[in-house]
Amino acid sequence: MFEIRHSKNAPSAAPPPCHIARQALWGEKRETGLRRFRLESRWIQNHIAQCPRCQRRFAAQGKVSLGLQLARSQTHGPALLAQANKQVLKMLQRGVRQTPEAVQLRSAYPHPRTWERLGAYRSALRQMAACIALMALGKIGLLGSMQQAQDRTEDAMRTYYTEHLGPSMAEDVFPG
Amino acid sequence: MAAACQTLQFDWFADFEACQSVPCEQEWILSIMGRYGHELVNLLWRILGNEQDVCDAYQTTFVHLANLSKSQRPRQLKAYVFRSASNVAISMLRSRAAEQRRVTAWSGRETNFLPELELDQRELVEQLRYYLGQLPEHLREVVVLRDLVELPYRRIAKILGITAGSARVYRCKAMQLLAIWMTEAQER
Repeated sequence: MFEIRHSKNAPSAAPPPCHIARQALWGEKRETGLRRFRLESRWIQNHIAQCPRCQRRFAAQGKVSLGLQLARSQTHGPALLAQANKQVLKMLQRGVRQTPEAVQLRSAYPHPRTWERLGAYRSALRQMAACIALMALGKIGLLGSMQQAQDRTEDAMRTYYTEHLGPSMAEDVFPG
Repeated sequence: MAAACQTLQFDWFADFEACQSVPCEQEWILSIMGRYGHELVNLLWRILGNEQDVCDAYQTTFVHLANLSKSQRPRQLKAYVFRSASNVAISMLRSRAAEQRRVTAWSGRETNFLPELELDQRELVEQLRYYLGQLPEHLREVVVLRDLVELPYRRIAKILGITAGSARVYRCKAMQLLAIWMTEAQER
């Protein structure tokens, strides 16, 4: 068994103490705003590699996470919803059982959420969104404005060089 | 005899007609089943992992709901349905674990006929389910809603009437407890 307490005997040479590693371990990936340290950081990885207590914690946490992932990933039969609905409908009043809604429920099949269905096309959609964003930026003239700003800055610099270093030097720095 | 039959038929028909004409009090259950049925079956499946148990827990939840009078109907329907379904599922898990212990004590050995890898995975999930049932209620509800229903913390906080920060702390404590119990079980 391991203790979930700060290890006071941790070697002082190891910069990340156990409680930081623990914070990174029990926290969630999405909450980056709340967490200063990520489990993927090299120094936390190095600390876990050195500290046996953190290793045990990491292994135990991994087991729980794996169990939860397995529980989430197991799929049931497609007819389970209809079967469960039928079982409930048997217990309801006769008038309720004969409504069109009840008839629909008897043959209901699970409908995956839209984002689950689109999961297979996620990368293609992301690329398409990036293309559309670029096109939209071009359309509203933002990219053109940026080019214009760059040209004007270059002209100003060229004028400055011509005034201070002479036209030949400015020609070398800004050819054409 | 024929007259009695006719009377019976007439009574049955009158009863049927009455039921059709009077608006049934349980009709609102159907809309809830249509709206949350899929998510609820998923939740129960993840907790129980057995189709018959899922159907039983689903039935118990909705029959309980159907028997509520108008004044007793909850305001936050989704929250109520999910909490009562998870409570039913957890009590089923506990009784299943108790039954398993009785059977094991009686036969003196556990029987498994599964391939090794599948057995490992199933054992892990079953172990997790068992310890999930042992968690204190306030921690268990957060784990169920966060890790099995996959709701965001803000939603969980609203359902349970706590702050999102408390929900995070409860989940963290629950994960630590599960990790300790599962490690202890492995060492044993």
